Amino acid sequence: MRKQPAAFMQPSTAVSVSCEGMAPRPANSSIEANPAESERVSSETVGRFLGSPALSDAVERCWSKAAPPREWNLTREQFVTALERSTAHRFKDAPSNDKAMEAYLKTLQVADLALACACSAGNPAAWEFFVTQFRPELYRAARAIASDANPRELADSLYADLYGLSESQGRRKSLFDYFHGQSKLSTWLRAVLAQRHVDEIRRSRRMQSLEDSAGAERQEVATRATAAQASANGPVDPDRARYLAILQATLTAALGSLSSRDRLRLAYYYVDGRTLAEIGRLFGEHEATVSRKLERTRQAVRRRVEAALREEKKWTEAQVCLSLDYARDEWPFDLTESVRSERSRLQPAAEPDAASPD
Amino acid sequence: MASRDQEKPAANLLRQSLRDSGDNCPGPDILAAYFERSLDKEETARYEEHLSRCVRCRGQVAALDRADAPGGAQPPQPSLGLWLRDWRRLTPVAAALIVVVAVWIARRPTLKQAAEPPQLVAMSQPEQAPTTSVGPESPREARPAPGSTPTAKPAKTGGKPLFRDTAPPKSKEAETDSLAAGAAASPAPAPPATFGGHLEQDATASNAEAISPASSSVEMKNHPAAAARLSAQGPKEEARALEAVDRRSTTAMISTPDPKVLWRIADGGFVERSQDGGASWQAQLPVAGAQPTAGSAPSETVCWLVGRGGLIALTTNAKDWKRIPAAVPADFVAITARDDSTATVTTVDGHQFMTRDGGAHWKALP
Repeated sequence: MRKQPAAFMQPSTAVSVSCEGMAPRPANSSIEANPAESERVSSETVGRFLGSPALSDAVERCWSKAAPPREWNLTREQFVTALERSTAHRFKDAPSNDKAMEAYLKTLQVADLALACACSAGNPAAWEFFVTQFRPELYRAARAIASDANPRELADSLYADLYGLSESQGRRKSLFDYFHGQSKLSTWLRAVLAQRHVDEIRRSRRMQSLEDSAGAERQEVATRATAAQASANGPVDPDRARYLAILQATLTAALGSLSSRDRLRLAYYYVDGRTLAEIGRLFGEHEATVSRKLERTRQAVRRRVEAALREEKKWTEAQVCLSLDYARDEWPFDLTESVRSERSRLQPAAEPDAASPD
Repeated sequence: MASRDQEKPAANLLRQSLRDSGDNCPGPDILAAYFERSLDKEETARYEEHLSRCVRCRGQVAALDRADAPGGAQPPQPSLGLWLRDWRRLTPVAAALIVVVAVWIARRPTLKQAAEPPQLVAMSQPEQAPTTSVGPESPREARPAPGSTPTAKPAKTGGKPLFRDTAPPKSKEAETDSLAAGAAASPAPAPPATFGGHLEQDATASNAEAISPASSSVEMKNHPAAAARLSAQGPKEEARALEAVDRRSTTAMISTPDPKVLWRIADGGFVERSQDGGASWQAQLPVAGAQPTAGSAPSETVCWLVGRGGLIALTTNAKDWKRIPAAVPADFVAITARDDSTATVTTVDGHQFMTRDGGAHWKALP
């Protein structure tokens, strides 16, 4: 029984892409498997694919492993074109060699890539397989991602783009053309949903920020009033702004010296407000490990900031404490607590340990 | 670590430093590959560098995580009808069923013997003290001492447990008896009439069952079941049983992060745990009547077991086991566990299911 996608029309003609077997192509030619922007396969990639025995073997292994069902009518040439497109996409920004490309081909989810190819080509049997296996998961993921928005609409729009409702130069444009097999198809579908949902949220927030500008102005007025009252209570240090600016710059430099993973962990926790469990899931770490590494990173940042202020800026202990007090007033920060507890020790700061990489 | 409320002001400072660059954001293919951890090291570092400065991309990763998490919108459990309608699955499933039935037929005598110990313990005690100590630390000692003669007769009782009427034995027998009494005090599991019947019995459990510790942990040296089997059989059967006991010492090893703490799977549904690098072992019976085939121990006290007939069991304190309901009543042949909440099981035909909440929910992996 063939299930038709709801409210979608059958393509009038099946789109197929043919390649000219294994014959080497002219140096200046390019394969335009699908008219997708920035997805053109460079002639260099094609030539390397067809001219290298190692890569030819790798391509052959991929085809054997993909083993698409006969009813999908997927030709070997169509599949090889998809492999070429995937490889060109991966190595577009970096020089590549046969070994790297061969290793990359080994990591591909070739079965999913074959399905995407066949669906992009408009094969009904492949599309039915996709609907049966992936559509329920697609809608479930949309509900999980956009629970407060309209998950059905999110999934439906993606579904339509996958099917390819628009045509260009006589060919259907399908979102499947952008799947390169670097991940499972199911994960890629969820990633597309996630991107679309986040972009929609950001668009709506930008619209809202225009309406809230009046509220922001009121808040700024209140802040200025508070500052004015504070200054009325006593003389204002003219160097206050300078202390804070230097502290901010020093902190930024200290964060810049962290590994990307440590900085990302901080961003997840402090900026995005993720829980330890959520961060652990994203990193594949246990919750306790996340907590321990966050603490270690905080201490490393604190030590770097203090050392930089003392050694590079040649600040005295009193100046360091004063800047941290100002920071506490402006942006209350736990650095001041550690400084106060260490102040009584009157010992020079130890050389900070670099945050160890994961 | 300070609570988030205490650190709330720190977020203001950090937000200003971790500014949103939001440019050159990678596409969904990189996002998906990063989430699956299939990017190479260089790509991962590059993407994490971008992530650490881009609120937009971090939001996408978080949204992808929501879609992947078992909470909230639950993933639909694989419909058995849909699963079977895919003819590509039927052939390996049929082959697996044939193998399972063949193994069950071959092992029926073993299963019968495993079901009898509670009665045999009572029968043997008044007549003979255990003459052997069974344990991997002294496998040779498991064999009967030269000259000793097993004197216990095979049990002829029709099934009524006799141990409650047995007078407390003396000295060496006291320890064995106390263990047997402990086993008797807890509800003795009904001996499975058939392997299929046992599957049915387990499959009806809707919640994880707590196994009484008294019935699960015994010292190998004075194992009542092993001693009873030995004393109730003739010399040939005894030797064969002892060989089986010896073989119990050498089946699937499960390591933990601590090299001194080891688990291993033995016959008869037993697992054994060592805290001294394998010098000595303590046996446990996680699920009576079930035979684990694989396990994973992400810490010294956490151990997952899987086996035939949808068997999944978990301990978090190295002694109390609970049965975890499986997603499908399949034979599991492998498990990898990250901790006491996160684990992935593999069926005999290669399907994988993952949990992140200790088995409360399972998700079929593509």
